[in-house]
Amino acid sequence: MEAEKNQGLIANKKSQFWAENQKLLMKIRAEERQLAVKRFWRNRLAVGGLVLLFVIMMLALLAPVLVPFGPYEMDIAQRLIAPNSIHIWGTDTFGRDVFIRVAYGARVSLMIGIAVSMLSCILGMMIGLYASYYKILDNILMRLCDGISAIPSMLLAIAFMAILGASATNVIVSLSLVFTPSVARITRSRALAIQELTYIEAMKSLGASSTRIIWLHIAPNLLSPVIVQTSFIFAKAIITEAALSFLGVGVPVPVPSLGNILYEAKTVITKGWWLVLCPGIVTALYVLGLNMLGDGLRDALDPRAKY
Amino acid sequence: MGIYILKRILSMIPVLFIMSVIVFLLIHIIPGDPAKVMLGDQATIVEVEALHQSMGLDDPLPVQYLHWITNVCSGQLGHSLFINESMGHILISHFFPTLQLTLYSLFFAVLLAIPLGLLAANKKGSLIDEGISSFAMLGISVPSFLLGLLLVLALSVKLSLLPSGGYKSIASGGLAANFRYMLLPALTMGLVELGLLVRMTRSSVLDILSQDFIRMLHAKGVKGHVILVKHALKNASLPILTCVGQSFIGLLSNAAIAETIFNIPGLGQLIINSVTRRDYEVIQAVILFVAIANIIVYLCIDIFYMKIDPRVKLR
Amino acid sequence: MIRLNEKNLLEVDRLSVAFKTERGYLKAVDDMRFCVNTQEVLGVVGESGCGKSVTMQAIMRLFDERSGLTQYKGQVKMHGCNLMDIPFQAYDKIRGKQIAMVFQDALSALDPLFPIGQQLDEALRIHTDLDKAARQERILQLLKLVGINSPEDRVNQYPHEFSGGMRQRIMIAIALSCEPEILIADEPTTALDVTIQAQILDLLVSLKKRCDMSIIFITHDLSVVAQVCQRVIVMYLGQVVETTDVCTLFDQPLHPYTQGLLQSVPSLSGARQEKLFVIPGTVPLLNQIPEGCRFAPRCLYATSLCKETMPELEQIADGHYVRCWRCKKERSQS
Repeated sequence: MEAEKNQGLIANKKSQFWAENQKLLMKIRAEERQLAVKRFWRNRLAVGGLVLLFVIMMLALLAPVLVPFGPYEMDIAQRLIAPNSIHIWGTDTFGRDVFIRVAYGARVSLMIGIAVSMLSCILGMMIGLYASYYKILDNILMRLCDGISAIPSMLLAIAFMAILGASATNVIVSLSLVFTPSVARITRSRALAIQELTYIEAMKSLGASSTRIIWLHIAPNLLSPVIVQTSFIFAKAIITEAALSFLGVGVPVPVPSLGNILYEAKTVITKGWWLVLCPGIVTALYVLGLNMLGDGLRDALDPRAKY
Repeated sequence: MGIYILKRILSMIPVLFIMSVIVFLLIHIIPGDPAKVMLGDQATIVEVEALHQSMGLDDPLPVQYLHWITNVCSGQLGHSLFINESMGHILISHFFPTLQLTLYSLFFAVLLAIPLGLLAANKKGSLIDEGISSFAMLGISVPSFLLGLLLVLALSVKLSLLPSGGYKSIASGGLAANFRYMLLPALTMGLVELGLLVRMTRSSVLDILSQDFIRMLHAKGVKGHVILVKHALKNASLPILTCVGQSFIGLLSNAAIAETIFNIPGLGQLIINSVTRRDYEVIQAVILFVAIANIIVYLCIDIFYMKIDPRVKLR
Repeated sequence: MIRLNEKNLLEVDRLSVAFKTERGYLKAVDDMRFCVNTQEVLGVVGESGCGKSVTMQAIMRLFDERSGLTQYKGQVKMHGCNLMDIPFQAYDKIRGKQIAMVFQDALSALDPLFPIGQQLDEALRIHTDLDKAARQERILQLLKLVGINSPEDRVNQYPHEFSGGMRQRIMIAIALSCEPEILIADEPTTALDVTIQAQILDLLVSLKKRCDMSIIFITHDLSVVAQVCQRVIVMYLGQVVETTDVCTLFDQPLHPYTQGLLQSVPSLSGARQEKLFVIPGTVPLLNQIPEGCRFAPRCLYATSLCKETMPELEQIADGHYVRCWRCKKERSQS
């Protein structure tokens, strides 16, 4: 009886402690978030990047409304026509309107970028967190990541595409595999540093479960560098996908991607400068916007770290 | 120093092992029968069986790996289905153009990046700094394939100043001709590395300039530009060197882009053609080759570190 | 103007240093006034952040005013000639030659990639015309002078191969190499343990005579002040609040801040106290500097006059200057 009553008291105290602890941590995190947001908006680079991306996104979304053509509509009679009032950016070798294809291509690239960064962020975080927590896993997982990183990303992506076959989904899978190790490494090093802090020891001694510690206490504190790294991966994914499609091993034609539009343009470069310039400018602005955003995010969230 | 190098090589063996396993597994992740996929739909069952046997695909995986790794270590890197030469010869003959391209690009990038980075760091916050940083940002943002196409458009198609493609080895045409064909490809690939190196130089030098011994040097009466070049750059040279090494490998592996645009018969073109032809063993060999080159480059950087920084010897 | 005698080597007159921040120019140092005589050790005492280092770095002109991020006002006269008139680009000739500086952390103050012999040589090459052999000789002499044994062997070693005390000696050797008239020592012993500290202090005092130079000794440690300094200035929030010779400072401190500082030093003798003495309050931020006397918010004797008007640094006794209304009143009453 006595023992049970004591256990009940201890359990009460524990939950009290948890609750107060949580409240305090939430408050601190909320303040940090506010400061980070303020820093972000003050950074002209970051805001500029956001604006640029927003403009491109709007273009991509509104294009079907502005232009009466679809991205797959071919009109052989109108092949390789320079920009005019009907086709703002001209037509390609199959008579398809370049403007709408670029708009759709921007969408495809965006979707791939988001998918890859989400996947590698989640996978990378899981690997990094569990590797930092369990020593046995650490060796295996980190060696695996080292092995993957030892192979240059472009070549590995090409190899995966060769094996899996060309499709947008396979591009997502390949690039996620290629970029996950970098997230894993950053997560792991930050997680190790956080685990040195006393409050994690306190949690352990209070009997908190590992899952709880990892996901509720360690993970939220390394969100900043992970978000920054994810934004870099987002940019890299879009560039790499474009490069893969340009080489013919990425998103297969006729599905438009910023890269494979240029792939098709390569053969007729002497006959159609607009086929290079128009998608090219959009791609360059896209990547510029992403880099500016990434820089700005890094300055706002994690100004002291080096990437 | 020899012991240090040996120790570094030994520490890389686990990574080499994992990397080799990944390269080995590449063929085995192919959905379906690798032999069938490689030969395509037109192949007869007999041909597929023959290839299946010769690749030893029925043995358990660890056995296959052992087989493969022993072959690799003795120099047999597999066979190409389309090129009738030894894999070693294929790799070497394709490696030279890529190496040239890489070295030209790297040379161009490093030559410009270090002075620009130093200047930007020295005049931090000024218009010059903002200009150089923006230029670097632009450099890493323009995708290299776009730049290549634009350069071809501008300089070859419209202005006819430089050839739009092709390759002349030094042996056949001399250095001048070789350079002429390589100039546009080198610019194409080099601009991104230039941007990266400028940023890295600038940030490393800024890091060093904020340290105490720079103040001490000022207090000694050493002139500003001497501090910058003699002391700051030397101390910053280590992270810059790492970046240069990474750029080298990056150039090697992204060479496919310039080689596709300018029709240069290098490793990049080889791997892309092999993807289209499903010549998987060539892909494997190329990846293994570049990955080992990667590790060798890191080893060289480590040795440089040891030479430049006297504190490293103690470890 | 504080003028002790005609042998003033360095006169700092109403020096102020302001830094550009998001909120405009903030003065880190305001109305600094002190003098240094020949062959004298002047102690500069104050809490961290009171502007001791900034003053010295301003004298060395380590902040570049050309960028607009730093503003200087006032004069720094050496042998009667105002150093602030010399443009920044030409100041390299003064640094290391007329005035030299020794920093707190010797490991981070030496370039890790160059052997110490080369670092000593660098200073000599810039400021003297000696040829290579003569420089080598001088380097060995200097190392012996600061107490490094078998200098011939150690000249090619790197900074990380020396202990903390040795590195500090090397820094002093570098500072002395071109025979400066003034040596500024910015907390040179704070990073060292007590036994080494004693050695370095002895070294500095002996060098003062042998090299005929003056030392400005920055520290927050009053025991060190008692050991080596002849005169002392006490700083608070970027201003001089009291200056006098060392004996008077310890016997008759007049400014409440100085008194507080002396009381805060725990003593080994006397009755055992229950609590250590602490000056109430904390040092305000630079952008929240109070009107009137800067110490008023923490001062036990503060009056409404103190809170409204800034007192001037005035002479209370011979060679004893204090910035305090109360002290001024007491003197005029006596």
